[in-house]
Amino acid sequence: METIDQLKQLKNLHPSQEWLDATRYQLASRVFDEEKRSFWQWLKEPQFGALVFCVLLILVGGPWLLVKASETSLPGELLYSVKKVSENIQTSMASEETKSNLQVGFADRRLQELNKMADNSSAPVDTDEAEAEKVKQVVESFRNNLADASAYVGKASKDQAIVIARKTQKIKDELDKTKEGLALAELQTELAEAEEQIDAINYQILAALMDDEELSGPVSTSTDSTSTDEEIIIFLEDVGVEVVTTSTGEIIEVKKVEVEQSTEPAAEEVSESEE
Amino acid sequence: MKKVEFIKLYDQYAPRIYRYISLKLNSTHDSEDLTSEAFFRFWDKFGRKKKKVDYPQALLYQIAGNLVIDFYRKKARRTEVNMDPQDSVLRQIQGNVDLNRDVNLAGDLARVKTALGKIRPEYQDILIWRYLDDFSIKEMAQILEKSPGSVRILVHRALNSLKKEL
Repeated sequence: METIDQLKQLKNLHPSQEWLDATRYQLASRVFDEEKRSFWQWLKEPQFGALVFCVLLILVGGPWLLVKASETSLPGELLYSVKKVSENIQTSMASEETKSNLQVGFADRRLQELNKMADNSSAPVDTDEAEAEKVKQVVESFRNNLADASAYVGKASKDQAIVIARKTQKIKDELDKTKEGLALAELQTELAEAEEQIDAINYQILAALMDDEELSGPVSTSTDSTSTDEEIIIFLEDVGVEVVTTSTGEIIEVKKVEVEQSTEPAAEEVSESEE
Repeated sequence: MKKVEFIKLYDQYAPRIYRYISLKLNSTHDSEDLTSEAFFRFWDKFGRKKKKVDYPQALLYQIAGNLVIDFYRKKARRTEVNMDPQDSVLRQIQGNVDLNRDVNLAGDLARVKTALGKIRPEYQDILIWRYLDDFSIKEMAQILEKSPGSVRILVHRALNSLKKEL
């Protein structure tokens, strides 16, 4: 048929051989070169590294900065909720060993907050209801932290126990100051009970520390807080922690020293107690 | 698909894809560009994967066809300097035609090409595949996913359509 014949004339449409060859070369280069520019090469390229760095910076840096900034926040401030959340996350992520230490650290934070709140407020605490409410909540958290610390102190390792001991001592000291700062009557009871909680923790710590030692005899069940403190001091000295005390044995400062040196209780400050 | 296979695919089909595209375009340069682009894209989309490709030529034509559509879309947005459109193509055809023959033949070729350009793209494709690329009815049926009978009818209609333009 004529149409078909005419159509078939178009078969003569060919590309130039030059172009054909040139393109073939280009394609081949692209196709075979790809082997070299493999995925791993792309990873090494500086742009990828820069990208990763920026992403990490944002992902890690952002939250970290936020958490860091929230550490000094007080109840009522925006960042305080961030602080609470981050503490919760840390708690859930902590291993059983470290939970106690973590909680004691948080308890210390509560005291710091209380002290700051006392410093900040101009009016006495019991006249401002909102403020009083905040304070009560912090104290409650304080008790909770201590309760958690107590619950997990049994699982702490020896090293952890030592650190916890240091912290509890610190808390005990600050507790006195806090009691003065907060005039609220009902809180005094709370704080007194908190002190008992701390003693309980210390007692458990001592038991944990002495576990490895083959100290004979059961620990006296009627241990009052003073002798527990003393025993902890003694133990800590043994493991190379210098405990700075007054002549009555009250701990003012706890420092880590070389094990070999014999430590002497040095009186940095003499409290009103007599020699 | 292996790299060597791909290069063989190029060797086998590049002229056909080029012809297919240049029958729809008017400039050699553009036809060349689009043809190489078609192969590069094929490689990017299908070559790198391990999976075997069933009808690579069908995919090539598909890519080429889409490139032509895109080309015209872009062209509609710009105004181009219009060089004599038939010139470059014509010269090519002439170069391959026996110069002893009647000069009218070259004119003829241009006429056919123009006529072809006037019918529906689907019909253009059918005619190119059937009469220039020598695909069998069966092959075309498989690629187009139609029955051989339908393909025959399409061919028939396409021819009629072309005849009207000639």
